[in-house]
Amino acid sequence: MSGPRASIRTLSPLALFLARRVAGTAALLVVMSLLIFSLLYLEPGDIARNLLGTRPVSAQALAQIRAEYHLDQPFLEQYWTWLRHAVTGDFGTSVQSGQPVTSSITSRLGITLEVVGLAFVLSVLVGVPAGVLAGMRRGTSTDRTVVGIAVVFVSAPAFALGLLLLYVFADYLAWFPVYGTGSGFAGRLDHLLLPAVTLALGLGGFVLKLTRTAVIKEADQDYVMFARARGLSRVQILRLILRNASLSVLTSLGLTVAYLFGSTLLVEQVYALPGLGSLLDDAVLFKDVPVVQALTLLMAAAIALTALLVDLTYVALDPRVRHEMAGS
Amino acid sequence: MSATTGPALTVTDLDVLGPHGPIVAGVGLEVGFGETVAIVGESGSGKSVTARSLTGLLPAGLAASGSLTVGGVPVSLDGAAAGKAGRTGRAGKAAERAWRGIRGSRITLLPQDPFTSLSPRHRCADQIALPLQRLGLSRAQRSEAVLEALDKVGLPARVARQYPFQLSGGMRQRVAIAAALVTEPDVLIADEATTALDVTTQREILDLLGKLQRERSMGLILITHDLGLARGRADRVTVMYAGRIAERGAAAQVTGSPAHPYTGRLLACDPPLDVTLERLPTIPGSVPRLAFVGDACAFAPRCELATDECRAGLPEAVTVAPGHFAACLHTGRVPKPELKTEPKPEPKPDPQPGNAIAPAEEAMAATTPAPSGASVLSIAGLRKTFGTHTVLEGVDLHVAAGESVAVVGESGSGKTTLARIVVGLETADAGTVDFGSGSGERSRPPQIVFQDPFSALNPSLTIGAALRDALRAGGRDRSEVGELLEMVGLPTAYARRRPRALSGGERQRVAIARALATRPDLLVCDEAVSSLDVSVQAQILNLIAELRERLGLAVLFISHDLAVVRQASQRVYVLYRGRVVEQGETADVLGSPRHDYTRELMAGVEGKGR
Repeated sequence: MSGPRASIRTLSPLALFLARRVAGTAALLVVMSLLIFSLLYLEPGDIARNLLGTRPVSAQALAQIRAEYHLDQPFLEQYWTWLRHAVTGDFGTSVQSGQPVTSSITSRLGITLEVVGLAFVLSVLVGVPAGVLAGMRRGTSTDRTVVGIAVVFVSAPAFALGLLLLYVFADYLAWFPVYGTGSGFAGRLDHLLLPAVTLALGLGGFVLKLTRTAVIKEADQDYVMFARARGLSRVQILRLILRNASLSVLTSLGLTVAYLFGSTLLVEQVYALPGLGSLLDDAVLFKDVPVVQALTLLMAAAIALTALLVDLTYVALDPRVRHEMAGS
Repeated sequence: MSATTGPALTVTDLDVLGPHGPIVAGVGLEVGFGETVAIVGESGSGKSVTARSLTGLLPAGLAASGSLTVGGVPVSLDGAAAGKAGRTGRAGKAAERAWRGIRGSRITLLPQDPFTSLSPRHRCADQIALPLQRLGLSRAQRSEAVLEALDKVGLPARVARQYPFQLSGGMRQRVAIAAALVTEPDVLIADEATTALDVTTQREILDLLGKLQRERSMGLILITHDLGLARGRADRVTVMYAGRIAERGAAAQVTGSPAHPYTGRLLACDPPLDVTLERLPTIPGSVPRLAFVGDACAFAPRCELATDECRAGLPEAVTVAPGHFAACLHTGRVPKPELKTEPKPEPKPDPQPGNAIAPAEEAMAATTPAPSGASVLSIAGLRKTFGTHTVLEGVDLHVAAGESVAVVGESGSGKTTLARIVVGLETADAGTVDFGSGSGERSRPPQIVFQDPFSALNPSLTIGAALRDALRAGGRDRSEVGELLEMVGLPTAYARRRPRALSGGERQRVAIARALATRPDLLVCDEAVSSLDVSVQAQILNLIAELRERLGLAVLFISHDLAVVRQASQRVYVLYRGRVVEQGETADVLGSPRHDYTRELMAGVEGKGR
């Protein structure tokens, strides 16, 4: 009967889902940004002095900072100004370095993305096949061995694992460099492989357990028994299982992004890599609020967008959801 | 090799050994080409394990032995303990490889549930065509074969491109049949293949299986709990009890003049469709595990005819008539199935003691939508939609105090939604639901008993704890747990047990006790007996009838099973696509159905039409 209701009904379920999901992500980011902006006020002491950092405090400098950050205006207005600038990539000036925040982030973004990306690829390349193997051989010694190794890596703290690898492979065996980022593709890979492996071991164990659980769940289904009853080959049956298990594995992979950004902080410290992790670490120690704000918002956005991406992929890959979305 | 000479399948001395002792012992079976043999038994009879062992698909930990020949090819059962592919060592792998040459081409097992037997994320065509890939057929040949297979099972070509979730249960089972038969096996084993389907669909699927079997002169093994189905569809019947064969012979002989007391009792338990019995015959006790039976007749503890000899040794199979055998010492003394308890006086239903409504008025109630007198439930103009789909439309329903009313319909009729609205688990979009409107005083909210006793109870709570929670919710003292258990015929010591230590029937008794803890005036039973074995079903139906009499309880029975409705209700509403298409006294409606849909439902009942 009512106008708006009827007009919503006329949208296809897919469009409705997309709109809802994008709006939800946007709302989440707004709330996150509000919280992140409030960080400025959480720190004790005068905000202008805090923002001034180690620069000499003078009445003129304080007035300049107040004007720059609109500190004399109401809180929400300050937030709005900050957000408007943030959206265009302007997060203000680093307290520590006096450089624009954005430029110190972009100069370090590459290395973190490379480590994280490499770690993700490695963990999927090893974790998924190992998980399938363990799941298909459930209860055998193969399964127990594989899962046992995974549990060790999942439970080992990344920094401890990093130190151990560093000692064994870089110091004792001297296969990899101890320090630095290297130049050229081969040099870069040489330098980043060990940090990436450190991250990938923990993540790979997690991916393995996810895959194993998904495969076991599918292998117990009636359709697998029916497939065997019809004399299908092991490869054919494995394909049936994998297609069905892939969706739950995929969904869970989205969760690993948050884990990766968390662990990279520690790993970059261990390997002394000038990435975002060490930048955040420095910024927190130095109370460099603009940098902390920018990095936190960046990670929140990355995690929220991954979640959105995973949902969209699910719609694209699951025929049942796809057909529901396309309307009855 | 030519396999048309000799039987399609022969198995002798089949034993299945589990981790806790034997599960199946000494089973022999012969199925000819073009012949249908039914293996009938309750849960725990070993019928499904037998079916699995004939296809080498036993779960891990179970090992079969015996000799099996399928389509003239001897198959080694001894290595069939392989379980999950690759789970055991080299011997298991070799056995699995050997079975792969047998399964599909010689013998195929069609699983029970069409909702889980197909991969949800593969198109029907791909699933049907999978075994053809191994035969080296080209893509074009395969898609042609798929279309032919679909046509044979009566499905249009468009199904090839569809996913299982886009199809109804009956259509999915047709796809599964097409997938099972595309390799043209000599023998098909259908393991309860129609149990999960509606009555009318069940009949269509059985007709289809029969037709395909005749066309291909294939051996068909029907695994079923339903003696009526076996009577109507099989040439020969094998009755299993506790892992052994109790009786076997021609279908007409076994069901017409049973020689084993168990078969006789099982037939008697099956509720009739044409008369309402005062009390349904039951079999006391439950099916024992073969491992605990030893060298004795497994049925002896539950048998009226049992003597010391029955407990002293395993009875040999006795020839009762040519081709008719029973493993019993007292074959001659088994009563004929026709000898049933006296039927209730018809057509008047039994007047309840303490019921305010006289039978004459009650007959009026069937035709007037809102009758006078004490009412525990009156529903008017009920409508419920889910999205664009209308589930219930203009439903009027009335239950008087102490009355038993059934709502009968197939899946999609809206009967479960109706039950959920009555107990407040769903809200209606339009219409009214009133409790106790007639007497002026508001009655206690109705309670519900669900279909599946295995998921209805919290596995981590003891029976006592679950009942205490329910008693507290009803404002009663927690010390009444023992009383509740006795009321549903369970020993008070069961309060300390957890659900997993109970059988299905016992769990359903607990679910009923829990529902009655708040002393409701109305009990809603949503398919409450449909997942139970026949003998247990009869026990629960008797219990509900007893409770009605003792407590003056009104019951709303939601069911798809017309025979159950016949036994359990005084009045019935027939629900079809969300509307009441027929209503009245149960005896009248089922005796002379007026609506086409009711007639169709009656015609779909297997093996009970006379």
